[in-house]
Amino acid sequence: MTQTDTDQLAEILARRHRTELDADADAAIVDVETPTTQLVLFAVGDSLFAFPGTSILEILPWARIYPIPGCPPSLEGVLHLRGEIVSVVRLGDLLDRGHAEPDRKTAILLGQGAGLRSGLHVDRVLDVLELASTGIQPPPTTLAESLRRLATGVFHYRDQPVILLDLDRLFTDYLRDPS
Amino acid sequence: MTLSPTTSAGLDLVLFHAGGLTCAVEASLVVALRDARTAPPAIALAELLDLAPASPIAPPSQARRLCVRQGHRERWLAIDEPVRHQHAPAAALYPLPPLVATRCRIRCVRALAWLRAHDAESLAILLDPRHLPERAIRSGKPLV
Repeated sequence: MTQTDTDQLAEILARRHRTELDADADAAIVDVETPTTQLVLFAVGDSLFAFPGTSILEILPWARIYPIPGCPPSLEGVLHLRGEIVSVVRLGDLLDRGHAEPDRKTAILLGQGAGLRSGLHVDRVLDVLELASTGIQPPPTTLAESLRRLATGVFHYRDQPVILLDLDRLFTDYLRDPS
Repeated sequence: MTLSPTTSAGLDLVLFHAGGLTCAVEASLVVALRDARTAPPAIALAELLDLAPASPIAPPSQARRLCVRQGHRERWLAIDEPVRHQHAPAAALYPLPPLVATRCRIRCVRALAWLRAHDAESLAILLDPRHLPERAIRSGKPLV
């Protein structure tokens, strides 16, 4: 190995280091004038969804759910949460998505909307993030009918589309659903 | 002081199993509890509530028959053991959560009770016998 080779490597490494620092700096630049929204990002089956952080009171680990007779399959049951009894909805059933078998990543989002609160069964919670409102696009017209009413926007997270949902509409529709 | 079956401090409940779930009715609405061999034939409460059998491996015994007051008449139901009597303080009784209250299609599901027994806490579904379905939801089997 020659001195020239070493210098060349050092130069390449230094250049790479500078590039990474620049990239980090670029990523860190936030326009303070741009309003941001806090989002809770989660997966149901292979699809990614998000609720505004203001709709989610708590992210709970999977817990024992007690089924209640006479409820539709989408209403999984109830759980006891620090002196409160809370219903749990299979969110996948409402979004036309299948749920994975519950495992250690399965979670329950404690959501509040339309004047009520309920647990929402999700397969895993991926992130809680701040997103500039400008990064959220209107929902595409190609969205399935069942989702179109519930979706308020779409954004990308690690190259995957994420559908932003309105919990008020979801609860309101679920209360009205005669099925 | 002796508590009457219903006081401001809570309710006396008769708890039992049906279709793998813990159910309860107010003790004041229970007329009798008998062994299956000595009681009149009765429809399984699990069938009335559209519940699956407790376990496919070991079918429930339904060894008990519970007679409940339903307005002016009495009605026998087949239930599963264990059966126990327990006082539920008011703080242990909960109304149905709003989504359950709206979407539950069985009127007799009235409330929920979070009870401690044998050093463990668990949920009981408080049923109002006055609003039990007349027929089994799935099979349409009439009351025996």
